[in-house]
Amino acid sequence: MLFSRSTTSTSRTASHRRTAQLGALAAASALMLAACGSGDSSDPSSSADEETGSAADPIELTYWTWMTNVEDIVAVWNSEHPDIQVTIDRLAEGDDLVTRTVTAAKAGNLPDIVQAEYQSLPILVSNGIVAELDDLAPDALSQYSEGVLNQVSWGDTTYAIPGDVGPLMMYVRTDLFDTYGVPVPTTWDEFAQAAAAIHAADPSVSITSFDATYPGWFAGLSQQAGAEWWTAQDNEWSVNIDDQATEKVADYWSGLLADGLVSTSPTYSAEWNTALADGTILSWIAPTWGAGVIEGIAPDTAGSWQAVPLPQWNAGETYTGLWGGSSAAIADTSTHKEAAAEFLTWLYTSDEGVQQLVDVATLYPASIPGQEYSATSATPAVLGDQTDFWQLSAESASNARAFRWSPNVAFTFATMQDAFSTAIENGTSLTDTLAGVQTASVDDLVNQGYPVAD
Amino acid sequence: MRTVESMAAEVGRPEAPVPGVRRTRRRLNAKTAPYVLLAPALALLTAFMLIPIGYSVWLSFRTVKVADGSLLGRRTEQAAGLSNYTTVLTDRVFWEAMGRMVVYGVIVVVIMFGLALTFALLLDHPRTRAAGLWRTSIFIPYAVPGVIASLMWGFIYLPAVSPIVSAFEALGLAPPDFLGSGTVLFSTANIAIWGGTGFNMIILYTALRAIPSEIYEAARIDGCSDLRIAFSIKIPMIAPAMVMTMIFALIAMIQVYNEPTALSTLSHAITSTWMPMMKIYSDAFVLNNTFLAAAESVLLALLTLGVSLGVMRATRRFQGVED
Repeated sequence: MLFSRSTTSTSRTASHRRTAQLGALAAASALMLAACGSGDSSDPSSSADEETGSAADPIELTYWTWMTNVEDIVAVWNSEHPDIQVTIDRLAEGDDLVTRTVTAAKAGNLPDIVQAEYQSLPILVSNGIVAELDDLAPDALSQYSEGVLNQVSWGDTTYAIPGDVGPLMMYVRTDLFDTYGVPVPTTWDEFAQAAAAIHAADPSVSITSFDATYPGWFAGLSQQAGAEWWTAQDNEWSVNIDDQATEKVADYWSGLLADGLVSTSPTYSAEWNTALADGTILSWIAPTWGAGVIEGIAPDTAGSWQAVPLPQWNAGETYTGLWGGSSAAIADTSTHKEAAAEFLTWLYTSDEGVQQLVDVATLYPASIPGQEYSATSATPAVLGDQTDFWQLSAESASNARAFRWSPNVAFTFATMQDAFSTAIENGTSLTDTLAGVQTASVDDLVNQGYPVAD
Repeated sequence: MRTVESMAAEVGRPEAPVPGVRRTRRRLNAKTAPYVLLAPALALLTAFMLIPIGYSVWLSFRTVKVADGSLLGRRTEQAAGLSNYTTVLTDRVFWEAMGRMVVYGVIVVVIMFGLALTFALLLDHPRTRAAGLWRTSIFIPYAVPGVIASLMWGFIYLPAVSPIVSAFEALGLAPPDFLGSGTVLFSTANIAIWGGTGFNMIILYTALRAIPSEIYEAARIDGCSDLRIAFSIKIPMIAPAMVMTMIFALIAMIQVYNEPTALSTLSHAITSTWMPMMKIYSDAFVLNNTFLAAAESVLLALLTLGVSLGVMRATRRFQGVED
């Protein structure tokens, strides 16, 4: 899940408050910014070496995660399993947690379990941080479809247990679409027409906002169009960020941006939150977990939203892409790998675990039992009387196109984010930036020593 | 009472013991005392300054490579020679950030110094009323943490909630775009000026108060106007304080990070590598390339040191002091 990452940039504010120090001192602090990793990681849990715990002397597992309400979920496990006690540590979220984990690996104080978004896993694998799970958690891994497992396996090896998936849908203010007399679009052509109609009716209102700050979102839209940014063949990476499908998506949004038909407020910014709450942004392209986000930032609009399938490039198609979603990996250094696998099997695939995942954490589970349970779950309150939300999630998940994530996703996303931001600021085309992102991404892979196909 | 000569004579005669003083112990102390007293500071300096600096420099000559050439090959750390430095020095993004920082620095230093000096001179003028109140009011922004100040100004700049934009719209005028690519550098500089003027003003004001009033009296007797006193006496006499505050300001400029980072969520014009420090953060903590970030930090630290020494040397020459 990506959504609670809105706090990231403010938490980055290091202690560089007006530096009232002389040259040498200041020079040193500049150096130390680079030298210091995260020094506040928690204690490693490996207090005992034996693989079986008891109520009197339980195995203690440390779990680094940012899942919503995960404390409540773990409390259920802990009360039922006195021999295996799990401790939550909310160190960081998303990419920040990856950085923390890589640093912790160097410092030798990794947790037993770490949550990771699918695109972050290659970094953890290539740093030798995570354990191979095929023999460790075969019961859990048998509960997933092959497409989902592809997100966590390379070659014949599986490195993480999938937790939730984020199939893109579209959340729509149906009441305001009615007010403006605009039908809810089902294709991207209709979407562009609707954008123009809404803008004509009230120039201060936008159909949606284009998100330059989350390239993962743009990746999802490109996946829908059939993009394959990375493919692995014959033990070589092939990079195609400027392929035809991606250019089609970039052209489409560049057109809407050039005509001023979409807002450019970054998702989760104060401005965007306000616009979503006061009805100046009428829709949001987001996965299942988006319902929880809307509930959090625009509680007064509850009941006015509806989730609909993502608009299609050709009428009659049902494709979508993925945004967010995460898995859990077990550290290779953990002395309690079997206990950790037992916990994750419970959390992600047992009846009780998936119930918690759907109802308490409002995630769309990646496992088959989880998806079956969600079909019986109640629709989030923000969607009013809609009854087919979980069914729509299930259909979207099975219609989602995906591609493999390379080991330099973080670099590629950072490059793309800056390129898109600059293009939006200067009013130039997004498509023109793709070739530059492609070149930078290939160069970075080569520099790191990965085999890249010409 | 003994005279100084008689005490000196006693000291010169070690055989004659002075009651209550053990000579041998005192001589030993005189040799070791400086080291004993310096030890805690030296230990802290070594542990928290020299070792991290050394480690950073070492890291800047390292890199990670994929050893076995497989799709998700294990990354291993290895020597990199000067490759991190050549990467940085040929990186257009790094130089763009440096250029931006220099423009930002010129804006901040010139305006902040003009304001701080003007305020200090005005407060020092004997006919200024309620000087204490003014002094506190100008100083207060410095007490607001940089991040809070940036968020506060961010809301003043943000069109949807900005009181300035509302005022322009109420008057039927086109509101300024504070967060556009052409203006955001000034908007960022404004936050730093707002926060830093009070601090510099206080230092200059304190220096002004230390000037003996006899000099002013002498100048007045010679027929000096207030303006003449300000330019010919006050400013030259507080030059050392001005040099010091100038160095502070230049260092703060090179390390600018808080303000643009806080504003970056509000403006597409601020990228993740907008200022050198932001690029270092991004390389180290977003892209996991601690090695490149270390090389950038070393270069920035050398720049800081060079600028500080340069300013000191230039001003010393300016004041006619020989090295």
